[in-house]
This record gives sequence, C-alpha cells and structure tokens, in this order.
Amino acid sequence: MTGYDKGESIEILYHFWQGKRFVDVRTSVPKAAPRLKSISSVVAAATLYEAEIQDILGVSFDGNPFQGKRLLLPDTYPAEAPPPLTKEANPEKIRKMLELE
Amino acid sequence: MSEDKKSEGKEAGAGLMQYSAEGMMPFGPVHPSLKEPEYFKLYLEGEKIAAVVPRIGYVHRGIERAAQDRAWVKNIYLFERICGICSFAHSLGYTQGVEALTQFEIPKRAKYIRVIVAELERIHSHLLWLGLVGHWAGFDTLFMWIWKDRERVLDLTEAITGNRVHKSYSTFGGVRKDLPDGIAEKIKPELAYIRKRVVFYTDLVQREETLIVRTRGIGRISQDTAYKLSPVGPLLRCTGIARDVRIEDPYAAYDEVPPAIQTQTDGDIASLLTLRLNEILASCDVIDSALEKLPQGPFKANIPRVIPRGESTFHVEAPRGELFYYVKSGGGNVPERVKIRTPTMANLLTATEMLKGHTLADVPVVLTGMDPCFGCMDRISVVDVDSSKQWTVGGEVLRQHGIEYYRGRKS
Repeated sequence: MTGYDKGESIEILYHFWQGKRFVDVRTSVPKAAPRLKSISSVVAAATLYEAEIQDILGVSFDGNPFQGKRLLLPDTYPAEAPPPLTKEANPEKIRKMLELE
Repeated sequence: MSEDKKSEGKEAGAGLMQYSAEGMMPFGPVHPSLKEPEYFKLYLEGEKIAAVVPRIGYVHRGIERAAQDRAWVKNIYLFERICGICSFAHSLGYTQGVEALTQFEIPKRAKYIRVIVAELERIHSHLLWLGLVGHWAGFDTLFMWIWKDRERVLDLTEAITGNRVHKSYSTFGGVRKDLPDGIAEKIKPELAYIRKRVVFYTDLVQREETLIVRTRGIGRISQDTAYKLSPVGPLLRCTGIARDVRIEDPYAAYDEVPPAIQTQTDGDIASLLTLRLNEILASCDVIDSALEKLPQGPFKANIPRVIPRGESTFHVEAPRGELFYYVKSGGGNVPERVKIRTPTMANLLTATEMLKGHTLADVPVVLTGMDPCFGCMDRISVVDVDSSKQWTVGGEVLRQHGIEYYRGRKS
C-alpha cells in the first residue's frame, strides 16, 4: 500500500499482485477529513501497511487494530505537528516543537 | 497486571491480536543491525506466550521522505543503505523500477551480471542466517564454521563489485563496471566448496540433537495462516506454497536462468533450515548457468538523465522475500514518491503468530527464524507487573536461559 500527498487530498494505492501483474486500486481522501474504512478484516496483511500510512500521512482507518496508536512514529512526535510525509511537514519546525534547537 | 495495561492490550488485540494474558514483557526495542528494529510486547501466561503486539520504527530514518529531496541517481546509494545484507536487492528494485519508467531496454550482459551478484548476495545472506540460528540455539561451532564459509562469498562479491557489503553496483542502464577478467575461474571452485559445505550442513541439521530439539516443531505456521497473513520469501515457501518472484515475474535474466524453486511442508524452523540450505544450492546452480550463458557486449546503456513522468511498480526477490518498490515521477530531477515495502514488514505479523504458544526460551530462535538480524537481544527489560519491579536481561542471559531450558530434553 502506498500513500501519497497530492496537496488537497491524500491518494492511497492498494497494490495487489494478481499472479501475472500488479493491479493497483486507487482511492483518495480529502486532507481535511482523512478517514477510510480499513480492509484489515478482509486482507489481514494490510493491518501494518494501514498503520504505517496512518503514522506518516495521518489517514485514519476505521476498524484497524492500530487505529489511534503509533506503529512507526516515535512517542515524542508532537501530536499537533503535521504527519511527516505530508507537504506541510517542515523538519525545522518540528525540531523546534521538540525543543531540539 | 495493572488495569490500564490490560485495556491497552485488548484494544490493540481487536481481531488479530486477541489475548488474555497474565503479564506483559517488553521485548526490544534497540536493534542496531537491522533496518527495522522491532519492539514486541510479549503477553505471557506463565512462561507461554499468549499474544504479541509489535511496535516498530525505532530507527525509522525517513528514507522515503529523504528520497524526495535527492536526485534520481543519488537515491540508488541512499536505498542501498536501507539494509546492509540485501543492499543489492534494494538497488536492483529501485534501478529496475526507474528503468521501467524510461522504457529503455538494458543490455543482456548487464542483466546476467545482476543475476550473478544477486545470487551471491542470497548465498551470503542465507549463510549469515544459518550461522545466527546456530548461535541462538547454543551451537556456536556451527556459527563459526558457517561465517567462515560466508567470507569466501564476500570475497567474491568484493572481487566483482569492489565492495563487500554496500556494493553500489547496479545503476540506471546496467551495472557500474564489467566483470573482472577471469572471474568465472575464480567463482567456480568457490561454488564447488560452498556446495560441499552445504551438503555437510544439510546432513548436520537433520542429525544434530541440539538443532533438532531447538528447531523441530518450533515456530510452526500452517498454510492457512500463511494465506491469511501473506508472509513472503522462505517463510512462505516453508509451508509448501511455491511462490517466488524470480519465477512468477522474472526480472533481469531470471527468465533465461530460472532457479529451481524450493519448498518444505512443515512450516517450522527446522524446515526453514533445510529450505535455506537447498536455496543456496539452487543459487549456486543459477550462478553456474549464468556464467555459462553470459553474453558478450556492453554492460551498461546510457539512459536519458531525465526520467519521464509516470509511475511504476516493481518487485524483486530479496534473500528475505519479495521486496516491493513503487516509483512515481513528475518529470523533475527528483522522484515525487518512492514507496518501499520490505520483506520484514510483510513477515512481521506472521512472526507474531509464530511466537504464540511457545515459551520465552524459544523467542530468540523463532524471531531469528523470520530472519531479522538480532541485535535487539542485547536489551530486554522484564517487568514484574505486580510488584512493579523491573530488571534487564541481556541477550546472553536469555540465550543461556534457552540452552538451560532445553538441556536434558530429547526430541
């Protein structure tokens, strides 16, 4: 699964291997309300990939056991800071928020 | 166990990670030798593991983000540094993903050279893993033997690429330099030696009591579990599912020198041992036939510096399993997005399943079984939740515990 910041919205790609080639299922969510249904109850393997996207792009997946919990991001990453892979995320500002500078 | 810890575990355990356990033991998180250090919360019932909740990301270096600020060619070397063991697989995944965008045909010789180096890497990675299992099972002689043999493979890698670990060899359009003269004569005797040793080790892992007690029936996964949780690589093939990217979607020259696909049926650590040993033999065969069929010609094509707009998905069979790359180009100097799905990420859920029902003594062997490097063993805290006492158990203490636990037990 790939998440990608398109500016106004976040695009999510589900890459499925079909025995011969990849089939990409594409969806996008508005950045203002980044919420999607989890597919982890159908494709258990997606559990961690969804959790990763939640951490780095801030998309919340309803039904994922990791919803609201962090898998990758450190506990110290400020909750009010934009998720690290969005275009708003600025390493310098985040460093200031963490009082590293 | 305190109330808040119980409720925390229950939420995380919705569906997949259900448990009702007496105590929790944090396991990890520092894991210096691995791209993905893992911290496992082990929920214990007595000494049996009831549930495992992973928490990863302790050395997440934001490489996908860093790649968005670096030129296309610089990223080859960045991605190689994701992993020190399968560095060539990473550069192969990325360069081939980008080559797919340019729609440029690369020279045949380059494809063959890529296969040779990729298979050498697989041999060295599998040997490294076998040695580690020997170490954690308390059979250090095996570890010493195997790592000595592995040196020979690293020497070959150095002779071809100039580096032992970070090969920096694959580049857009082919490989950075041609094979040195007379390398075939150098490789063949070494492969003969490796083959001889692997036959010896195969016999050893089937007869040696230490390994049998510590690995047979340990960390077993069924085919159903494998279908449900989609592990990749050896972890999938040890359950009898014959899937390999090199066969299913041949890249480089694998369509002309296909490997013999290996499977086992037991799905336990013992079958992983046999499987990886067989895969080493298969890799030796691939290198032999690649050297035989090696075509003459250029080893690199000059592909345009500007990568056209578009996106591509590419996967390669790294030593640990399917390694996935998604590359998106906006036509600029830097990639717009590169997504990497490493085999360990795909195997993580399966590893948590493998641990269930086993004892603390089995943790090192089972977790090594999924093939992460095992630096994190050097720092485990054991928390006695009732008295809130906390103490730290070093990796060596846990290893000794495993050895003591199995002392006197016969299979």
